[in-house]
Formats: sequence, C-alpha cells, structure tokens
Amino acid sequence: MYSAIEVIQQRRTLRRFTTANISDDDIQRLLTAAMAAPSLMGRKPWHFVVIRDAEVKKRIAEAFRVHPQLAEAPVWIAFLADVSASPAWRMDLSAAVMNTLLQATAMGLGATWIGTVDSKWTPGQVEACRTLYIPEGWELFAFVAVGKPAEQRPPHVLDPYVFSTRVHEGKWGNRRQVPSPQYHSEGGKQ
Amino acid sequence: MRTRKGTQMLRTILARRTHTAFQDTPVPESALNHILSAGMLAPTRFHQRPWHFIILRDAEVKQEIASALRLKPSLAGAPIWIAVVAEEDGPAAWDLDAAAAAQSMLIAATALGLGSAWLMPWLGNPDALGRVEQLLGLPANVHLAMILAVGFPAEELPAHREEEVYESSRVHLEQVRHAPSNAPAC
Ligand SMILES: Cc1cc2nc3c(=O)[nH]c(=O)nc-3n(C[C@H](O)[C@H](O)[C@H](O)COP(=O)(O)O)c2cc1C
Ligand SMILES: Cc1cc2nc3c(=O)[nH]c(=O)nc-3n(C[C@H](O)[C@H](O)[C@H](O)COP(=O)(O)O)c2cc1C
Repeated sequence: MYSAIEVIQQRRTLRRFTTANISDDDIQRLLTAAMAAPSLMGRKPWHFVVIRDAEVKKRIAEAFRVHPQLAEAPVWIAFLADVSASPAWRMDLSAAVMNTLLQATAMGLGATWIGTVDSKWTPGQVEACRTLYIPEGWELFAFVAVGKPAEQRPPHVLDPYVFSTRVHEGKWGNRRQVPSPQYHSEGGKQ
Repeated sequence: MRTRKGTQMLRTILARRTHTAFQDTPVPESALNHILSAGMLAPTRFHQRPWHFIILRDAEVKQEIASALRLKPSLAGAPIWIAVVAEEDGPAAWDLDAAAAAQSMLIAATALGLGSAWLMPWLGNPDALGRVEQLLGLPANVHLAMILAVGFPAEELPAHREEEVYESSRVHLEQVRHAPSNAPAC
C-alpha cells in the first residue's frame, strides 16, 4: 500500500490529452474511488455525469472559458452535489474529487480539476445546467477532465521552507521543534 | 486497462476508514512528515496553497476540545491531531483546498498503516468553532477547516468493498436522467 505515497508525490494537473479513449471499466474505477471518499455522517451527497459527447464538452468548456485543450480530453466527469443531503457537501465533494485524481494518476491517466462551484448563474453554469439537465437542489461542483496524457509534468518538489513555515506545533505561530530535512527519506523519490 | 499501481491505489482508497479508537503507540515523526507532505502536494485553486497545519499532541488540549465539542472521548486518544487551517484569499475556495489536502493526508496515513478520522464536530455551531479557533490562536483571516485524528488503530476496520461502494444509480451518462425532481433548475 506504500505506493500510494508515490502516487501522491507524482500527481500533477495535466491539461493536454491524446485522443485515445478511456474505457468504461476505467471510468468505473475512477468513480469507485470517488464514492469511497469519506462524507459527513456517511451522507454521500454526490452524483456524477459521464460526458463523452465532443460537442457537449466543447460547448461547456467555452461557456466556462476553460482552456480549449481541456475539451479534448475524451471524458469529462461532472461532480454534482445534492445540497440537501449534507451541509458539508463542498468538503465531501472535494474529497471525492481528490480520490479520483489520485486514482487517475495511479492508472497512468491525466486529470484536471475544473472548479465550477462558485459561479452560480454564470454562462457556464447555465449551459451546463441545461445540457446536463441538472435538477433543482443540485449544484454543479466541478468537472474532472480525464484522458491519456499528452504531456508530462515533473512532480512537485516540496520546498523545505514552505514545509517548515506551514507546520505549527500546538498553536498558530509555534514553529516546529524538529526541523524536517528527512521528510522524504522513506518511500518514493521526491 | 488494469495496472498494478491502479489496483494498489484503489485498495488503499478502499482501506481508508474512519477510526475512532487508537493505540497509545506514538506516530513516528517520519510518518507524520509524509502525511504533512501529502497535504502540501494536493492541488489548490490557482496553486494558492492557503493551508497551514497545526499539530496537537497534548492530551489535555485534545480532551478539552473533544469534550467541548462532544466528540467520542476515544478520539482524544489519537496521539496526533492535525488541525487543517486556511487563509482566506479572494473568492472562497479555501475550504475546497483544505479538503483536498485533508483527503490526501488520510490516504497517506492509510498507506502508512495508520488509522484516521476527519472531524468537523462544530458544524452548525459557530460558537464552538470560534472557541476552538481561539484556542489555536488563529488570526482573524485564518479559518479552521477540519481536524484529522491520526494514530495506530485500536482495531482493524474492514476495508470498503468495491461492489458496495460503486453505486450505479449515482452515475449518469451524458445527462441526469433519474433525479428525485425531474425539472432541471434552469
Ligand atoms: C478547487 C480547485 C479548482 C481548480 N480549478 C481549475 C480550473 O478551473 N482549471 C484548471 O485548469 N485547473 C484548475 N485547478 C487545478 C489547479 O490549477 C492546480 O491544482 C494547481 O495549479 C496546482 O498544480 P498541480 O495540481 O499540478 O499540483 C483547480 C484546483 C482546485 C483545487
Ligand atoms: C466533511 C466531513 C466531516 C466529518 N465529521 C465527522 C465528525 O465530526 N465526527 C466523526 O466521527 N466523523 C466525521 N466524519 C467521518 C464520517 O462520518 C465518515 O467518513 C462516514 O461515516 C463514512 O465512513 P468511512 O469514513 O469509514 O468511509 C466526517 C467526514 C467528512 C467528510
């Protein structure tokens, strides 16, 4: 199970994809990962729309003004939240998206989190609502664009300065006693 | 295409369970560092990285918070709590960024054989949230997002099962076809 650490280290947002299709089995695994996320009181407020229609992807991408390359990903997954199901739906859905990104990385796929949640009644939201037929009470939380990567991006290397300034002991502002030069000493390259 | 790495990742994701009872065995510092790194390697909107992490080890402090928030007392027995906090910066996505980091940390903890819980017992109770934020000494523009309890589990919880987790009724193709209310909102 250790290799999950490596996957976390390798994950990057990839925005260029080949035209190779993604199988239904792969989509099912990505969504299994999503649905295994924790949710407040196990309420699971999530629903998903799998979008393969090129026209639809293009229209929605344009309406949201996201990078046109993203529309070329063979699959977009819309992450929808039934808001009445959980007061913590934003958190629950974030966890589900995160699982999906990690699962995609492990499967050698590229993925991009396209955030849409704070754009109520923008042209993108209206277009998506009409096209995907999003019902009353549900929010379009995000899209995840998925495909075989046509680009590689090197893993992040955690800046030790960032690492040390973002970790506090016991209280805000208390720097950690133990500095952390050895934080990558086990498992995976950095 | 089923890859070995993909299968291992899914196994880890399914093995993550919410634990509420822990051994006293301390969490090795190297494991804690891996978990914190996992948080800081998570995606954030516009790469803003608004998060900070406050490590709580003091048993009394944990107990005090646990009882003030009516958490299961055994949760205070986790050797480490990580309070994930975030600076508010522009349009509010700090909660999403914090949640992505939290999930990344829980997966790392699971991979390291540790149990964990994602805790937000102050939901619907802003006063309780305010008190914990004060206890943590947070500046006004920094918010507490969640607390993660981490430790070696007192008992193994069974992993989620793939066939139970995947609910096809939640998966729609191209359009939402079977929602509770049929009318789209627009
Ligand atoms: C809440 C959220 C919303 C995001 N929205 C977008 C988006 O709309 N378009 C995009 O290209 N990337 C989006 N991203 C990806 C971030 O830009 C990316 O995670 C960040 O630049 C760090 O790069 P990395 O993911 O490779 O580590 C989003 C990420 C998060 C967490
Ligand atoms: C946003 C959020 C808040 C949560 N808050 C609490 C909490 O305050 N107390 C608790 O015991 N569990 C909490 N949980 C854990 C859920 O109860 C748990 O994820 C859910 O019951 C599913 O079980 P599992 O995590 O074992 O898959 C929270 C989870 C999430 C995602």
